[in-house]
Amino acid sequence: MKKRSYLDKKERTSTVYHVIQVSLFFILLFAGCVIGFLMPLRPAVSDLEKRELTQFPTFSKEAFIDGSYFKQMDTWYADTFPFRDQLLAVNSDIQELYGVRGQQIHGGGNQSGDEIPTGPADITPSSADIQNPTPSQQESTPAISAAGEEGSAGSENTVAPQLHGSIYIDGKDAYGIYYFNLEAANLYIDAVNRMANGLNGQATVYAMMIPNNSGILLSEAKQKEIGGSDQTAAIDYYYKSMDASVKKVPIFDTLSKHKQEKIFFSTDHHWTALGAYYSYEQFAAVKGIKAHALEDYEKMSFPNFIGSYYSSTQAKELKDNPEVIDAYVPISVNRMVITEKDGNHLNWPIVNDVSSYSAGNKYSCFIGGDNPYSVIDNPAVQDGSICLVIKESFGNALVPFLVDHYQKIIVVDYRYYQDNLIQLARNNNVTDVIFANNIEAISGKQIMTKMNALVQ
Amino acid sequence: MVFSSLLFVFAFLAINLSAYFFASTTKQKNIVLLLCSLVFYSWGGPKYLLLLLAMSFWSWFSACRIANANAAWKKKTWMFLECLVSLSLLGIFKYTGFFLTNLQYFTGFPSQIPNIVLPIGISFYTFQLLSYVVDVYRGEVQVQRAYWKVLLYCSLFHQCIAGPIVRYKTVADEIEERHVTIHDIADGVRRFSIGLAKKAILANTCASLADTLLAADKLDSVAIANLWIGMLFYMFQIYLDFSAYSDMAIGMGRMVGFHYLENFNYPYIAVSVKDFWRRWHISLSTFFRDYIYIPLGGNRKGVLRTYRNLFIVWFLTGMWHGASWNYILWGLFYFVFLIMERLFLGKLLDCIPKLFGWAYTFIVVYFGWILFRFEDMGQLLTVLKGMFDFSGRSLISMDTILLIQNNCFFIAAAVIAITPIGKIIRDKWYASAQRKEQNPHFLYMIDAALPAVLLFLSAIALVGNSYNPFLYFQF
Repeated sequence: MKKRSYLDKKERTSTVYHVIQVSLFFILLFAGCVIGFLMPLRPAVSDLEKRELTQFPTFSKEAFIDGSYFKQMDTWYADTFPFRDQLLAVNSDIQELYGVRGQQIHGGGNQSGDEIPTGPADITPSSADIQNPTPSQQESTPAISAAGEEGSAGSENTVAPQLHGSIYIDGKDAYGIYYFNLEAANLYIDAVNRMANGLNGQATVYAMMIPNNSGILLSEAKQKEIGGSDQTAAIDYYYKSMDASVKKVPIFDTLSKHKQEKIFFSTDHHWTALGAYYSYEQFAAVKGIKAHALEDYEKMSFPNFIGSYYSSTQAKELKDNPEVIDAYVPISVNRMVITEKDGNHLNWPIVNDVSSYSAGNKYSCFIGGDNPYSVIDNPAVQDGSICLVIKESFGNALVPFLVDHYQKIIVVDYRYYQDNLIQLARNNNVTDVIFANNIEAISGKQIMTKMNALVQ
Repeated sequence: MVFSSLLFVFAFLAINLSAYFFASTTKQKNIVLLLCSLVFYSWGGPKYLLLLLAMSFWSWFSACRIANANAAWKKKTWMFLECLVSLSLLGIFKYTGFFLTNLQYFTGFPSQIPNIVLPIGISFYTFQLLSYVVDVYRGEVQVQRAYWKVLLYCSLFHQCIAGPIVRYKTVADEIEERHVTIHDIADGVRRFSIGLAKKAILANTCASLADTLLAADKLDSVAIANLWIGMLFYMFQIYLDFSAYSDMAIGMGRMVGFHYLENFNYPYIAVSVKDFWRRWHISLSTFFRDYIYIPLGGNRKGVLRTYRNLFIVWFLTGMWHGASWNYILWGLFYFVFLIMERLFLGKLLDCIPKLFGWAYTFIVVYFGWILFRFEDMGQLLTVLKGMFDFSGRSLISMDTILLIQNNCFFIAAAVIAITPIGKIIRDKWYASAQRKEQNPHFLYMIDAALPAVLLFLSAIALVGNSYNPFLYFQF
């Protein structure tokens, strides 16, 4: 009898709990279902990942038959799920619990660079073997249109995220691990040499090879441990392989000397304006001009910057330690004309107030971020000096310091510019050409093939 | 569509279940299931839906003919035709490329190898249909006169594309009439959410760890520990992934009143290779046992015949997993160990502590997965050599140490999920409460919250997860 009543009671109790269990599950399931169908809540861009999210597929008969239409719908549904960025943030908080995360290596890992030759490259300049390059920007993710940016002025520019090889995180500091790529290096060197030959007698070509933060800030032993290539050896190879007529701006030791100062970011792969300033001093020394003192500039500061290392790794330690971006406004002029990727022209500040920009976008305070083609006219200088800067985003922080020394500066981002650079330099009577490039950014073969094709 | 996608969980499944519970009769419920299944199957490319419809039609037709036939030879003829057509179609779609590649290698002919895309789930549903027709032929199950019910059986989205291989007799009665209680739904919900979390959280993470350590272009240079540890993660991944799919199938079945048989029983605690195969992909090994091994004579026709039969079964088991030599090697690798266990090893394992048997089995299975992972023979040899290349490679690299540090708690959780520890604790807890005639309220509460919590965690894991390949899709 007692047994019987226990069993009855057990059945009743377990029924109650099972009803609760099933209800909780289905409430969540149907809530997810409803939210999933609320189209206006679906984001089009991810601020966190700095990319455009997958779009709803356009219907075509072929795509329908072979299933790719549905497959893309699958991807679209997950990729643009409402509250995506918030959910991702929760997910990365959960992943913090996976283990002890003091030091981490993200992305690829286990990569290795090519062996760096000890002698100069054996390449004939202006070789005609690269006639049909495929200009493709697949290696570097194209900049998103920063539609999420508040205010109208801010919606115009961003810095293109660079494809990171691997990222090493130690506590709250992230470092880019550098992998040397021989083919890409040779394409780059070839482009620089052709430029020098093409402008022989007209302009001086300068090359500034910008190291990764890991090369300057980490000990050699540590660099070896995390598996990157030797950056001094790589830069040495670049410089050695360039024509004698190319003026090299050796900034590695300069930066090393200042490594106690904030010359690189911890949450972003770029250098700071201070790092760029020391390199500008070095450039001035090579060119034989007098650099301005840092105190001569008006300084602007933008707090709450959380850079690309965070968007790539979503490591909590980086998010919790936002940085300050300092920018130095050129003395003589702070206006420039930008030609955007779609051909639009913009009159824009060289150093722009980005206080209202999102945390990940503040590096675009320098020269309006990455644009194919920009021109700065400086009325304070009238000596006919015209400089062409060929850069990716590292050059952005350098340009403001160059402004005061030239009558005109043309800035080209080789990833987006489409025309012949030698022709450009000739047509504009350029007197100086500066290649200011980060060695990691120029380690992609595809993008270097494109760059090389611009210097035919 | 895969089970572990947000679209499946929050759109497809939610709509399917609502429609299902609104349908009042079993017939209406079956229609809901069938329509949903056809939509689900078409998601991978509608053209293969025709193949599925045709193959199930043919099997339905053959089974009816067999049931109608009054003479043994007629039954035999229809049985033969069923096998011929089904297996030919499976062969054409799955093995043409493999066969021609080998032919080309030896004879230089043909010069061009057609690229045939494997229809999703063909390996699974062909076997289901075959088992149905054979069972009708053997008189073990009543013939099903309604075509759409045979189609429902083989296309049912729970198990159509990645198993388990459900026998018709398991679900024959439930297709006609089935009932669910709140306890069934609770069990189903629990099972489904465990499977989803196993896949979305555990298996996907293991997969990305394994892929990091075993990146194809770095295999010839990575440190020795990368290979060993990477393969261990792969070993975890493949079980978590595949058993998760079965968990989800069984769970979704339970929610609507189907009772599919278990497909996995903690295979990595097996104490012999034979034991392993009683615990791994049970629906496949019993299929081969019942429809190949025993009809060939099993072990009743002398030692040599037994070995021959085992050889055939394991050759086919390997081949079923993929059209590539490494899978066949993988099957035969098990054949060798099973023979050895038959000859002497089995007796030896019986007299030594179980721990040794487990260690031996674990190592055999571990190396089995190496054969399984690398379709490219060059890569396979590189890895096998690299694992013992103590002079040429570094022992361990910094990124590997960090990777383990960064994931140490995750790894512990994955190990627990692979063993029956959780199940044992839960069962003991219930049993002890039952003895004391009490209600284990705390356990009930955990059980009640678990599915919703796992669903939520899985959903957020899937949101950011572009990495979501389903391993068993290629089969």
